[in-house]
Amino acid sequence: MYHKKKSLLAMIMLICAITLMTACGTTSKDEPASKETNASADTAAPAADNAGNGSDASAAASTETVEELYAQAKEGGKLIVYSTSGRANDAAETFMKQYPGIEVEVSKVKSDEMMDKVTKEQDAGQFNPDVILTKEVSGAVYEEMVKQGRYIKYLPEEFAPMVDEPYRTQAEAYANYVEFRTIFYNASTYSQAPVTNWWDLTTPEFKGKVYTADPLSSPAFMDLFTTMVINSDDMAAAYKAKFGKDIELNGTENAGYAFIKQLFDNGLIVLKGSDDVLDAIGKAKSDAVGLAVSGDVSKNEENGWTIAPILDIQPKTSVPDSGYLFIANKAPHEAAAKLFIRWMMGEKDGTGAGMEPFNKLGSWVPRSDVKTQNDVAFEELNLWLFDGEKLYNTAPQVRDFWIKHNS
Amino acid sequence: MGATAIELRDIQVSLDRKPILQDINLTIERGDFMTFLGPSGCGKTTLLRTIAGLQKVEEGTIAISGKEVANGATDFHLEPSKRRLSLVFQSYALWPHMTVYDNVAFGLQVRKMPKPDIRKSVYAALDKMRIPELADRYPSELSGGQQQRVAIARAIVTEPDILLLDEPLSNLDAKLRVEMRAELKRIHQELNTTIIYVTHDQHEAMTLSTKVAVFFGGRIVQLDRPRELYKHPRTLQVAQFIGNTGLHMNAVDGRMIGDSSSGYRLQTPLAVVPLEHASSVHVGREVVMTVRPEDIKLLVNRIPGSTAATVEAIFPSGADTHIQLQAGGASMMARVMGEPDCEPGNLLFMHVDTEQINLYDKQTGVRIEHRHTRQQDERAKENDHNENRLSYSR
Amino acid sequence: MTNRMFNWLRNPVHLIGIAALFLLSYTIIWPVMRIVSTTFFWRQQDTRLTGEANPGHFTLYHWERVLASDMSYSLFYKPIMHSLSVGFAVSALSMVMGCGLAWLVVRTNMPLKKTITFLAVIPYLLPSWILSQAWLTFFKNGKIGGTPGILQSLLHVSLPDYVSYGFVPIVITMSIHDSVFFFLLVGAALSSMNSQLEEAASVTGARRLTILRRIVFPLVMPSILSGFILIFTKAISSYGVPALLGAPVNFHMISTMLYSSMRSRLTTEANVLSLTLMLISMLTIYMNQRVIGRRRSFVTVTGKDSAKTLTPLGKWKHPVAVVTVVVMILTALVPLLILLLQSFMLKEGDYSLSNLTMHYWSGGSDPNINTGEKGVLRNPIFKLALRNSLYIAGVAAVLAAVIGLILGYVVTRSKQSWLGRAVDQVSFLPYLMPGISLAAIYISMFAKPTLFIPALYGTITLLIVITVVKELPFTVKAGSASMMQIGRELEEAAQIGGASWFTRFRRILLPLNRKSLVSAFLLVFISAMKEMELIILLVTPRTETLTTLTFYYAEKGYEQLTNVILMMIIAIVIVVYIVAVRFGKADLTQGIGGQ
Repeated sequence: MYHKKKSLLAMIMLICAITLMTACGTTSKDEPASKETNASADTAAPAADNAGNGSDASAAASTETVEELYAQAKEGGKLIVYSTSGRANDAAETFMKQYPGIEVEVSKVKSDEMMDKVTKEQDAGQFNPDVILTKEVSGAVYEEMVKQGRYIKYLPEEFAPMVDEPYRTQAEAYANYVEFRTIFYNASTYSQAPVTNWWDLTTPEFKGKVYTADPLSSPAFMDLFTTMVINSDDMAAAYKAKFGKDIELNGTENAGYAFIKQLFDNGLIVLKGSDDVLDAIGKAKSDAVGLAVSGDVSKNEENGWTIAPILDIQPKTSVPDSGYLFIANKAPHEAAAKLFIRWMMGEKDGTGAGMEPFNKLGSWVPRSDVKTQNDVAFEELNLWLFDGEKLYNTAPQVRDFWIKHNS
Repeated sequence: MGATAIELRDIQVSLDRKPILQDINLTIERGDFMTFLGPSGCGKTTLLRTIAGLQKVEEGTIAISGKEVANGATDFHLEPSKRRLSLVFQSYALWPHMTVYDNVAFGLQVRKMPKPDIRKSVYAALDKMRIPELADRYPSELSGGQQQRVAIARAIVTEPDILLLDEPLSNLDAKLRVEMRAELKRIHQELNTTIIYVTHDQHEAMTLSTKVAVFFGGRIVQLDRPRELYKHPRTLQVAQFIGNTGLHMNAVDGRMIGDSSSGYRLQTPLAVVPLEHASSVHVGREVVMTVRPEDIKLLVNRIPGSTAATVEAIFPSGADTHIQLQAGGASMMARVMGEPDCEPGNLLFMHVDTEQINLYDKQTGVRIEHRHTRQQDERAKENDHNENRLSYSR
Repeated sequence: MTNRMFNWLRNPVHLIGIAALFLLSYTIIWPVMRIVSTTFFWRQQDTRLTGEANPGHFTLYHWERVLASDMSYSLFYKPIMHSLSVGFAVSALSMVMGCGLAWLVVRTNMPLKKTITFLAVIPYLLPSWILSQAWLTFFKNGKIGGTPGILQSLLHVSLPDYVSYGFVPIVITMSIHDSVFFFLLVGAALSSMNSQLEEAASVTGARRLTILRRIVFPLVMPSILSGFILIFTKAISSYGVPALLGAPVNFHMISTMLYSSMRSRLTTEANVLSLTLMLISMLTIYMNQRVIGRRRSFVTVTGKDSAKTLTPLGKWKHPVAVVTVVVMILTALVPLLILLLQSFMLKEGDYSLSNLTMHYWSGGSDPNINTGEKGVLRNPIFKLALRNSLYIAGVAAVLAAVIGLILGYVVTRSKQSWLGRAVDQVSFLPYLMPGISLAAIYISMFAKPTLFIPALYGTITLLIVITVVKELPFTVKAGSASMMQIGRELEEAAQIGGASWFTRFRRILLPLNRKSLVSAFLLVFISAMKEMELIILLVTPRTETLTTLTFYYAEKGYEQLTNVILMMIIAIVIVVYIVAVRFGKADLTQGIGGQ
């Protein structure tokens, strides 16, 4: 009997597996949501065509009233958001309360993976996402996605006057929040910022006491160094201001590279991620400093850190790391997409709850009419311009330089 | 009877590009108990699998009951299940996850036979194998002999025309082997099917078969009735194989001498044997003479034609006794009935029954006909030295 | 000729083999070819690297850059030396640990064997980076700051860098995680080995060491070598551990370089690097085949259970058991329990009782904690993710196990022919492919309908397909190992009985391979539940899984919530493991191709 039981069990397991397969197959088929999506995709496509041209940025910025958009959006299906940040999730929750009848689904994807995903999808004729919330990848988002019309800038005309530059006209799109990489210190060790000039980090005082997240695995950190290389004149000037003499390049190409090299020579310690850096300087009393994202300051409480970011460094504090908002090319639910972007921007008056997840300590909303949670206003931040095209073409060289000198 | 069950024509089979069987031509009559005999690796199992349809032929044809089932030229290959035969594997190949009943019933279930009929057939087969009480057991709970019976029951339940058995007794101990041998003989008689039986045990072959095919190197070297095979192995190789295990075969080198006037003789260290039907072409040839232990008579006193031999060792085995002798530089084994009255070191005289010897060309290993084939029942003449004999050898 | 072809195909082994080859070609060879071809052409992006770039045209630039430029040393040769040394060291150390443990459990009279066997599998259930994190907790020195390592705060000595970071800890933590492969593989080989072989040797008066060296070792050699390959390949392609432990001392491996290229959008460079990894792995497999050669069938089990005599450990019996259990608990249970504890801690690092909370499990929204993120059990996405994860892991595991068995059948039944070898080798390829490159190619392959294949992108089906493909190397190995143990005549007996191939498979082969099937199922289930890199690109909101949910939490820095999900995954895996072992008589050993 024993054997019989065993074979019976095997059969049961198989049957279970098969029923599981079919059962789940049917449930997902019966799921109203997906049905709706399928149906709506068909109806939405011509609607988008009627609305004009989904791929034209200026058309997208034309005036539309919230009511119109809401009415259109309710007819469409689920709004699909690809986001590098979980903040979009929080905004989606309030959005669905504000606009009942519109469902939002947020996919979290890293910015570089998102580029691959969207490119491959669109090339295959699948137009899945409506809204894109992404960080830059050393200018690649601009060069490979925006220029190719895969991500489309959307800034409603009536919002524009309140938006700070460069995001009103210069940047590749409106950024709903701006962070940047800067130097953090332990506030229980230092009563005030121990660093005022980037070149401070190359002095003996900070030998073996500077941490950074690995720019090889987090390219956004590399962007800061690449920007220093691009703006090497600024770096050279800051060197002169600090040491009172012209910089010796010692075989490097310019002051930006020289800075990286001197950092290495001064015992720069590379850790895996931003959290590791802040753990290193913030967990216990420490006189070390580290490079991390400004927004991380909000995690102080939970992680038991006592860290503070430095918001003013010579020659410039940093380069912005912007959370750009786009509408995806041929977005199937364009009206809802626009409505959701407006919601995340805090609506026209900048008071909507959709903005709350973005207006945080260490993260700035570049709108003149929005009060920041930080001590310093966005306009007062001393930041380099994010030059996508230059970054895109310079980043590989800086990466090569990094690999050659630090491995 | 008499109809052809299986006909093999010019069969050629290779495995992994290595030729295994060559030029196999064989006809098996209905009701035969045909044994494929040979050392391991001689191709006998491959031929069995080829007949079963588990192995494809490269060349040649197979016909079962007059119907072609395989043809190398046209690459025709009939499914095993359509050849109306059954195979009992050496390892029994009982399915460990099924009961005895299910094992036996499987073939019928696959044929979609109605359940009550299956039940009837299964129990009939089990009854025939005298194991109906084992129906609910699993193979792992059975002894080797019982497993064997189940395997045979499974093979006969579909009432095949041909039953193929692949070394079915090799995994059993000596006692069970004897028992199953009798059982197989009974089954053969009861079912009256054609049986092909593969073995490397000449004893099994002798006792069971109506015909034996001896295989060497992928060819059939001799096809004969068991008695004939025993008496006149066609080659030295066969003789030695037959003489292996248990059935010892004495082999002595010799040379043909003589001429037509004085008669032809075979000169060996043991004796000079006169040959009746030799001819001049044989003269000078190196030959090997084989003589079975039971064809050597041991005498206390010398008689004409006998050779002096020293007893080297004595191997009593119950009913008879083997005596190892040293004679003229050759080591010989003789078999006598009962307990002999001698000891190692004793000097005896041995007399070889020349009627029973076989001669082989030393170069080719082929048997030399040195007299007319005798009638099966013709026996060697009783000699005159009864009182002289150590013991009866027959 | 056509007749011959037709007849050849009428053999189910050939028919399935050909079908399998077509399938494998599309799902495996084709993607590899596409990876290969990208490395020989300029892409638009390459204008970033050099002005010579001429998009769409043939070039050797990418290979030159990696293999023969001023970058090569830092980009390729140094990392590859690191990769190789880590690969060999991890394999060797795992071998010592795994084989030693296997010998103790299988061949000696050590007590507590069941407990030890259970504990031995736990590290495998954990993501390997958890062990490296645990390493840092104990052994980190002042270099990377933060809370000092436990050892340093206890002993007040600063550990040298080479103990805290880089090669040594990478090798040790990976070995702890992976030695379970050796334990299972060699344990199976040892237990199937007739102890009479040893006894025969000891009768001749050979010393115990001589017996081990001359008799036992050669017999388990094939298992050891296949364990070596599995671990070596795994070690050189793993990213998490070297990234965490290698970065502070700039210890780069090909895998970390590859990840960096990928993230920096130097896709072609990443492809070249991943191809070099594939080449190295293929080379090891080739050498393995040369070494093992025909001996592979050595350990093949006769199916007969032979009596086993155990080596008495004498007075060492209990100390050995205690030491083993303690080491096991330290390496397996402690990290697990710390994770569990952390998921109940309101604030990280505060070990007071009042700090314990169920908030992260089932709490509601509290704006002061994690910006109002609810407990995992209340997260609406959680239910969806759980269902998706179970569904993907369950279905993929069943499919991978069954397909593995069928392909294993083809491999064993046509071992000598090109067909069997082709299926065997091609099905091993996905093991060597970085999951993320496979996924990227799958998007474009399955985004629109091709031939009879509908557009699978965005469906759970695609996630299942890629999981099955990625797990095939294991299940095919397991399937063929299991099939090898089942005598051909068991199937032939049914064939003569008139059963069609399908009936034979269903009624004979499937039940007979049940144990291996359940084990393969279990193994795939475990890795599918843990899988992340492979599916992250292919996931859409509706196909969210538990692992992508952890990604979301981790990205927002919600460590406790991440831990909660991790605990759930581990709990599910352990429950399934216990159920499978208890009721399915599963044996992980067979899941990884053990004999």
